Amino acid sequence: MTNAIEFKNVQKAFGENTVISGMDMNVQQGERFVLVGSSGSGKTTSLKMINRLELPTGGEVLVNGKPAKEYPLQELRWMMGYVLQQIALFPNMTVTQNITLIPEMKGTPKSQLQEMADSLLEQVGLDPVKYRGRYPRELSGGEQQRIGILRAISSDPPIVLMDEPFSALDPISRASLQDLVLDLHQKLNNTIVFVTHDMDEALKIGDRIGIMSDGQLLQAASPQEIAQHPVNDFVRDFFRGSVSKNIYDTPVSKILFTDQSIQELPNDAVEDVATLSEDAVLRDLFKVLSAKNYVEITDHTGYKKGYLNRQRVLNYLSQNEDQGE
Amino acid sequence: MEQIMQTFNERRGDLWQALLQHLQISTLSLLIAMVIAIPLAIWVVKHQKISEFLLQLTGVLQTIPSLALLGLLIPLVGIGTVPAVIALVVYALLPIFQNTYLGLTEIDPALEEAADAFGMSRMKKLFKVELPLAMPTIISGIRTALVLIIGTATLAALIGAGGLGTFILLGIDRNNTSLILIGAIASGVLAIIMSSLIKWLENASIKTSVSVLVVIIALLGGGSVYNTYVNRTETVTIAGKLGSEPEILINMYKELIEQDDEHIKVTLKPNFGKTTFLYNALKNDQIDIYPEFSGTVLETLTKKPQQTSGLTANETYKKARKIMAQQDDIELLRPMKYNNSYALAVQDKFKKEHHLQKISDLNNVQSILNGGMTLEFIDRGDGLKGIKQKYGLDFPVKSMEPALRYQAINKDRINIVDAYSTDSELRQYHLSILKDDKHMFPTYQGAPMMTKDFAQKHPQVSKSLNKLAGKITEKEMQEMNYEVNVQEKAPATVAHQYLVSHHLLKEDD
Repeated sequence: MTNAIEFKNVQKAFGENTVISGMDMNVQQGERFVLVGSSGSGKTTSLKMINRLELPTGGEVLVNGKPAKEYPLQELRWMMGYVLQQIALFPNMTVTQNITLIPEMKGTPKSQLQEMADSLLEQVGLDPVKYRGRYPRELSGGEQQRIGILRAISSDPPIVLMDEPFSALDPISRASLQDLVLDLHQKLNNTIVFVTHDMDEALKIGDRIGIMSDGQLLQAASPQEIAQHPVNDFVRDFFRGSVSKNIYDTPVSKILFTDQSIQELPNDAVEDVATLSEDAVLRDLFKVLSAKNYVEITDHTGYKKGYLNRQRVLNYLSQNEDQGE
Repeated sequence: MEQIMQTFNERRGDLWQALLQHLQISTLSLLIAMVIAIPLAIWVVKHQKISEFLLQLTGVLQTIPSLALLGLLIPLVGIGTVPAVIALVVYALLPIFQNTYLGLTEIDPALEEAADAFGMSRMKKLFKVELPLAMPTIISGIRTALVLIIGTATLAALIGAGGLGTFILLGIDRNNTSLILIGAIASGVLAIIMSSLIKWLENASIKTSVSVLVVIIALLGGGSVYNTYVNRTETVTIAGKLGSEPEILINMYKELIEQDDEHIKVTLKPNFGKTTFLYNALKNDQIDIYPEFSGTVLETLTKKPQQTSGLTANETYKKARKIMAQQDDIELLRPMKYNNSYALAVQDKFKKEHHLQKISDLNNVQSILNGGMTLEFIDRGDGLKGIKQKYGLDFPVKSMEPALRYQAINKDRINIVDAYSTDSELRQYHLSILKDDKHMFPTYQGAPMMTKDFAQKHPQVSKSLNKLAGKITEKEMQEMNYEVNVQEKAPATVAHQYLVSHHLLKEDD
């Protein structure tokens, strides 16, 4: 299967200033790939080279096996939804007009646009009757970015690029929008390239995570792989160091990935187990563990990923105490 | 305040016209400035060096004093609307250009990036995103320009472009504060109304804005067309020769024309001059109409001398009309009834006493005739000489000053005089005219004269004036001249009385 996106020795410099130095990267079809790194690491520039908002100064970007520069620009961009950190809904257009911008440009009959917008609004839990005629300024930040996402996926593009889409949102909106991305991905089965500086978000969203620093992709692998076999100290520290601002908000999945989980329950513990999704955070875990000795952690689909007990949690906390804030 | 209201009422028509003119000049200038400045700003947004240069250039243009700019334009494009519009466009460029440029450059880069990322073409991005977002800034630039234009447009009056400035200039000229205030207030109100209109358009949809713009252009364009063809408040200038009779006639013309066409305003220039002067003024379009006599046409205005003696009144008119048309493209409308010709007059009692009706009858009293006549008449071929020859008359005649001969006959020193057939003295001194039964005297029938061009463009005016065709007898004309010359009534009053008593005015008058 061809890679949805492939970077071959891609370089990018702004004048004298090298931002990306020889980057190789593969994103597979249908994958949720997260580029994570601190600011200035080159992750956003990398993302923008995929839809040619930036042009590489060396190397090659391939999209579906074909060099990006060989696509007609509009065709390339219409293959890729784009979600911005600044959301950037057009303030002069209504919700409907924003959502159906690309279908309209592609020539979808006007009569179908409203219907299309309504059905999309319903998918993200916004009442079409209430929202379709509103202007962006009449929406909350979370609502705006829901529309931003709908705008990106309205014409069902095979690839969606997301550039720190939730970093300006409050934690509650952020969590629910992260769930939305996972939901929509399950339905649409598209390829997502997601840029963030938040390791927790990367863990939640990504099938695979690429860790960037100083214009280099240090390691691209599954969260578990990165947690267990970091390629160097920087990656290990970055992964561990990305403690949530509030320790209580640390996702349960992160404790699992750092090899703290128990795979088999002792025989006498069967009656003493609670169940929790990997999306849950420490706060939820504390509550459950105050009543039961063991917690079974499952993924979205309910598949068992492992068990945790009080000892393991305390172990995780003690290892990370110096990074707590 | 009362004075202002009074001036306002007197000048309402003029004000309306000036306002419309002002609005036309301003709107035209604004539209031209927009057409130049907005695309230019859009183009230079991507070229920073050029845009800086243009910003400075338009800035410099704006610092030229408006009076100087108008003065500079006169040798290049003359006077009138064109230089006024050019000057106003120059002033409007800066605010529109500057604001369009600012509006476009201040758009959130994230929105530009989003538009690019969604595969919008340059044009699509411009019309769907950039212009709508920059619109408030652009509109505020347009409003600034508009207020500037409406204020500066008052200077247009200086170079003959009309507008509200005419009120202000006239007011300064005549030291009339009311006029100045009316001009200034009207200009201010106009600026406020137009500015609010644009402000309102800013919040309206593009569709509404465009339709309102189209309506305004149509109204103004239509306004000028309407003005020209239907609602023309046109000034028609009518002049008259020296004396009471032409003045009475032109007052009748004025009333008849204005009654039938409320959009024509007639200006009268009585006692304008003598025949040739008036005729030249008519040919040069300095005046539009003046009353002329059929006989005078043949005698004075034709290039070749014409035989006039022996022609009937109708023949004289037809000949005069034909020659005028051929020679100078001049139209002589149908004449009135009376014949203001040379005539021989005797006292009423003398006429009765000797049973005199016509000049031929004088043969019977030839021996007792004792004449006093003007030198001109005595000397003319179609005067006394012709009479003596044609009628076989011979009697002693003394030459006398025109006024003196009437007094002389009044005191019975003489018993026959020459006269013009409509002279008021005939009425005053109870004199009677003897009929020229052998058509010795040329006929002098009064008729309105105008250029053919004017006649074709104003069929209604000809129609109005033709109401007088065949009207007014010699007696009636004498009477009217008497009222003006002797009784010192105003010519306008006398003219009006005649029209009323002969039912030539509409009943409700």
